[in-house]
Amino acid sequence: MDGLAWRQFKAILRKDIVMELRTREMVTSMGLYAILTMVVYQVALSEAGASLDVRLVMPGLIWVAFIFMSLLGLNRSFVHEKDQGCIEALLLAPIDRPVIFFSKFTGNLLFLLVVEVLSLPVFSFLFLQEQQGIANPVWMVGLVLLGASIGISGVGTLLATISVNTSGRDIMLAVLFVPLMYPLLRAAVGATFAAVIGGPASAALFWGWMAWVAAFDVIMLLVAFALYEFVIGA
Amino acid sequence: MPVLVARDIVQRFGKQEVLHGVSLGVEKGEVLGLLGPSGAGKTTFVNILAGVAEPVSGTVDAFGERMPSLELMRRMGYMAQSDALYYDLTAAENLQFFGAIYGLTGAALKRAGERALDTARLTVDPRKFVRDYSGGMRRRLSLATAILHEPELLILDEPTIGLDPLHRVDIWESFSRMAENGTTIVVTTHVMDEAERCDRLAMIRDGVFIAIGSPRELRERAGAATLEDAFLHFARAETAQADREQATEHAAPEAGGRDA
Ligand SMILES: Nc1ncnc2c1ncn2[C@@H]1O[C@H](COP(=O)(O)OP(=O)(O)OP(=O)(O)O)[C@@H](O)[C@H]1O
Ligand SMILES: [Mg+2]
Repeated sequence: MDGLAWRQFKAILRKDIVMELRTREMVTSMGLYAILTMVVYQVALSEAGASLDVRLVMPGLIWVAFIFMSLLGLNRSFVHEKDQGCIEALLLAPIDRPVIFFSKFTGNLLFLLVVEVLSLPVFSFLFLQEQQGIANPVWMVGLVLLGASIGISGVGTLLATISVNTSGRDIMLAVLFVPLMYPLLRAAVGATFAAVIGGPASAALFWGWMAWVAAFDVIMLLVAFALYEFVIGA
Repeated sequence: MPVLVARDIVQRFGKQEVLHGVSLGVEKGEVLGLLGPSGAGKTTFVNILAGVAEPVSGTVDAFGERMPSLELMRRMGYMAQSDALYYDLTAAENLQFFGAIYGLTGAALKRAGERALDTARLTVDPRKFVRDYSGGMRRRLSLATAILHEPELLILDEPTIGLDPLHRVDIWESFSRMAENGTTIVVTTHVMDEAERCDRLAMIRDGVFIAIGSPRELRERAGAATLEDAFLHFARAETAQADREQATEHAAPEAGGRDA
């Protein structure tokens, strides 16, 4: 990136962070969704009682919550751009389209991570009994979180851009989001499971799934980089 | 050589043709007004000039090069009919943001911001969010963001809507001053006294230019005392001609039928 692109990147990211700190629009809506999902899970699992080792289903439940939460939140990420026609002003500026993508993506990633990191302790508090814990070091869970969130916010940012220009906004994002996320979701659940359950083979399993996560992220970012010019102008 | 040339611009939304092949050239340092009633296609046309929208057919050249082009856009400023401001930021933050996007930093950005606000006749409250500004203040801030990077070609879509007469006059004086310094300005309006201040006017109705010329020329050609009357004159002439054309179109196939 040359100097101008870097300054433009920082300007957009900074603006998004300042606005999010003021309105808390995305973080609140995503946080609320995470909390509501946990309440529903609590009810759903209420009959399973002590016979169920929650750790077996927890990785899946977490990612289901996070996927739907980001679906909700990321869709809002272009609302301020669209509302007063700022997106047109941005597009008229001498700014390379991938710079817009990477700055919006970075902001979305940050907001997503904030909500995830805040909701995980609540999640473990609600569902893990006293004798249970995470078998492997916590940083492994952190790594899955980071890796998968990169993929989620990348795809989310791309689709949110497309849906700004399409009349069926939310539907568009929802319809494409889950199928596109499927491989990442599978790998994230696998890696989280390996980290939580532990056991002798868990390290190998964990890194195996993480390789999938990383591959997904790289491909997604390359595709976004290549397509963004086309997507944002559509 | 004209700074801006639009040739045979046609624009359609669905089945509705909004611009029917309009052409226009704008000279350097000229203030060109686009005057026409609501729905005439002014916004549609300036969006194409600015490169926000692509026409169905026709071309736009700016500074002798084909639009749209990112390089050319650096030399252009565009103020949309919507304000294109972030409502949850203060005025200064909006200016900083758009300045940074155009590569301005530090002292240069600060100076540019002050100059732009001065041109737009706006004093800003450092704590107030744009959401809490009046419509007229937003309009002026929007103008300030459009001229921040000192564009050579400025395209303004109803810049003075919602402004009181005093600010309106002030801002038009700013336009004249900018034009004297070599800035080319295309501005839409449906206010006649603003139209009077333009070097040249393109009167637009239902997606066609019904007359182009200096305000004085247009009044003289129409034999009218005011631009308003001149507009009505050209509008009627256009309608009459369209009727005649339609009549001949209808007549032709009938004649053919009888021959067969
Ligand atoms: N995105 C769009 N989709 C469909 N129709 C549109 C669109 N934009 C404009 N139109 C139509 O094109 C015509 C011209 O609109 P335009 O906004 O260019 O008028 P205008 O001269 O700018 O009017 P005003 O003075 O009210 O701003 C109108 O009939 C409008 O309904
Ligand atoms: Mg308009």
